[in-house]
Amino acid sequence: MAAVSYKNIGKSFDNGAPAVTDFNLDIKDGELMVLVGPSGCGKSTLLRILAGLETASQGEILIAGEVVNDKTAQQRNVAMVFQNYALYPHMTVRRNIEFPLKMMRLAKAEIKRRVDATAKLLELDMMLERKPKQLSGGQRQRVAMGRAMVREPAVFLMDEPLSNLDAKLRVQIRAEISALQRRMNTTTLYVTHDQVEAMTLGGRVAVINQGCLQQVADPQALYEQPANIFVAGFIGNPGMNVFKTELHSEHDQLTIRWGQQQLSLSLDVKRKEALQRYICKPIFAGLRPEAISCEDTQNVDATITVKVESIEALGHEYLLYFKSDVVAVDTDRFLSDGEITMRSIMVARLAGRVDAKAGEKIELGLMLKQLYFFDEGGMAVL
Amino acid sequence: MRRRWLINISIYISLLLLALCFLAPIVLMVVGSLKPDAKVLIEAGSLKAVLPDQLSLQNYSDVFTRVDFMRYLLNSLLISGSIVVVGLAVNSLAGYAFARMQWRGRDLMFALVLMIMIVPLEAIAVPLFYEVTLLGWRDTYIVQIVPFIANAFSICLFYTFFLGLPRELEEAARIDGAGVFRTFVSIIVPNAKPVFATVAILTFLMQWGAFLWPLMVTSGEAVRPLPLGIAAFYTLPPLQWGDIFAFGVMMVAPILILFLLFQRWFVRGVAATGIKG
Ligand SMILES: Nc1ncnc2c1ncn2[C@@H]1O[C@H](COP(=O)(O)OP(=O)(O)OP(=O)(O)O)[C@@H](O)[C@H]1O
Ligand SMILES: [Mg+2]
Repeated sequence: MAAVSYKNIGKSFDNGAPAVTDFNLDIKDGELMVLVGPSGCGKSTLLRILAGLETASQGEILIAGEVVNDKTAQQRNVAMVFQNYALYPHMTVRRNIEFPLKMMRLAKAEIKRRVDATAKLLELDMMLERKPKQLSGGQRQRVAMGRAMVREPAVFLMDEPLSNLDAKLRVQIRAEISALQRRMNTTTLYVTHDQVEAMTLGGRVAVINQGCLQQVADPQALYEQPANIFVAGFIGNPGMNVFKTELHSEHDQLTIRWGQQQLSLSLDVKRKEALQRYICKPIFAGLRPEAISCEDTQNVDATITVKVESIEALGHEYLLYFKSDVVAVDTDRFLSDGEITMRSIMVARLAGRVDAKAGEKIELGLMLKQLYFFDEGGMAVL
Repeated sequence: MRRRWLINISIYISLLLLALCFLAPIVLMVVGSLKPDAKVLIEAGSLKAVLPDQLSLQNYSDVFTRVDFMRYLLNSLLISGSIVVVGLAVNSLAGYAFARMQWRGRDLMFALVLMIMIVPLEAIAVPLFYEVTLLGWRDTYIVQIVPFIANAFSICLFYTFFLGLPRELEEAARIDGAGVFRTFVSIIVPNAKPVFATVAILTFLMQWGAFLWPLMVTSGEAVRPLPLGIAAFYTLPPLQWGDIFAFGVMMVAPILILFLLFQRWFVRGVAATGIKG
């Protein structure tokens, strides 16, 4: 049981750009914290710094209020589940699980008791005498969990523990991990690059990009109030369409430009006030794919004509990729220093069936009440 | 159709001839060792060289009576065995330090190790001789063992193998609380059996045939290995080829046995690891 803090952590490897910069994060005792971000953003590095496998170039790591920068991995009392499990190939499941206990020099009877209890909990008791190669992927994953749990560590670290499993098993074990974590109430850091996984685990989520923390919040808040363009585009499936536009005011009515059209917005007073500063200035607007519809429902308050690029049928819904009069921002590559890459395709998530072919022009309705705004630096405007 | 058949036949015949060329010396040695001394050279050019008309084990018993074969054999086993056993420990640890540990001057040291590989023993034999003379090591086992324990080639073999082992295994052990040495013994070594076997066999083969160095630093029978024993026959009148062959057979036999025993390890590549993928 322990709270964990990253304080101004920075890390640069001998070669090249920093992998992590000025990273601050507080994880409460017993909390499940998910670190999510695109490949190469520094998630594993952050975890390894906490585990003591990597030393931070700057900053402090605190476990249970104590600075542990100079402590060894074992002294920190953290346990880690590796992406490839890293089971000891020459040892049986039992030997694998008891290895950390042997290193702690516990009594034989105690070791046996703990291993048996852990094996039972993870339903591994039938295969204690097998070697890792004689196990399925899911079973290996559970052995790796067992080896980490058996120590009753202060902090649990998991680096993409499910990425080697097939989609169905992933959903199942994800739920198991989440339930187990709640039951054991051990502070846990969970790394994934999959935002769906991050959202469904049930803990707070820290979104990271290029070694910088973007936002920490619970899943719903991340979705509803993304702090910046990166989070807006990263969270959601698919992510938000963000485009560059201008804000105008006509007879006390705010409008945005969409190609040749001016779309008038009906916003509440608070948002109107927040937006006053941006009138006649370039601004980024964002619209979730769910806020675009091909039917004329009552939520739709503007219609646009778009050119269909492609349609993906997912069974219960359709993803419609289209080109329009506005240019979308590539949110993945949006850097905090304001460099913007444009991509021309936007996406809508449609519940109903669409009978359109690539290249055709169709009309789509926009639910402008759900419009998000970001300033030139990409930060959310209320 | 017929042409194809002819081509196949001729390929097989040439392969057979080639195989004969390589096998002939060994066959001649084995057969020669079973023939009376007088006949060995006389019949060497005829078919009787391979199909002897009379066989005996006389040469073998002669070997034991004319020289102290057991002495030579035990010396060789002791020297080669010690080099193999101590060498495995020393070179694997060195290879591990080069592959996985961070320390000042590591790259320079490794470059030096690679350079040593190029220098043949013959080139440094004389200065080395002075050195061991100064140490007063002449005519001992030590002098035949110590200089050959650290071996650049073995270090390189270990180094490459350890580099290929998944790093996560060691990191997992570290988090589980194992120190460097414990990790090496409990995690690395059990997963590196193939490279240990390969290095053991190569080292043993190399040392079993050592001739020049023992000749330089030893004088009496007491500590000399087998290759010097067989050489003793050439200078021991009367020159008896049958005895030499018999000695040769007995010298090769342990290696053959060793190879057959460890073939499984030798041939088997990298052991499957428990890492997925
Ligand atoms: N040992 C190392 N030496 C040099 N650079 C490294 C090292 N380890 C990581 N990096 C760099 O640091 C950055 C962050 O790497 P890290 O492994 O933390 O990413 P990640 O978020 O875990 O990515 P993924 O989702 O692909 O695992 C990357 O740009 C990577 O190239
Ligand atoms: Mg990673």
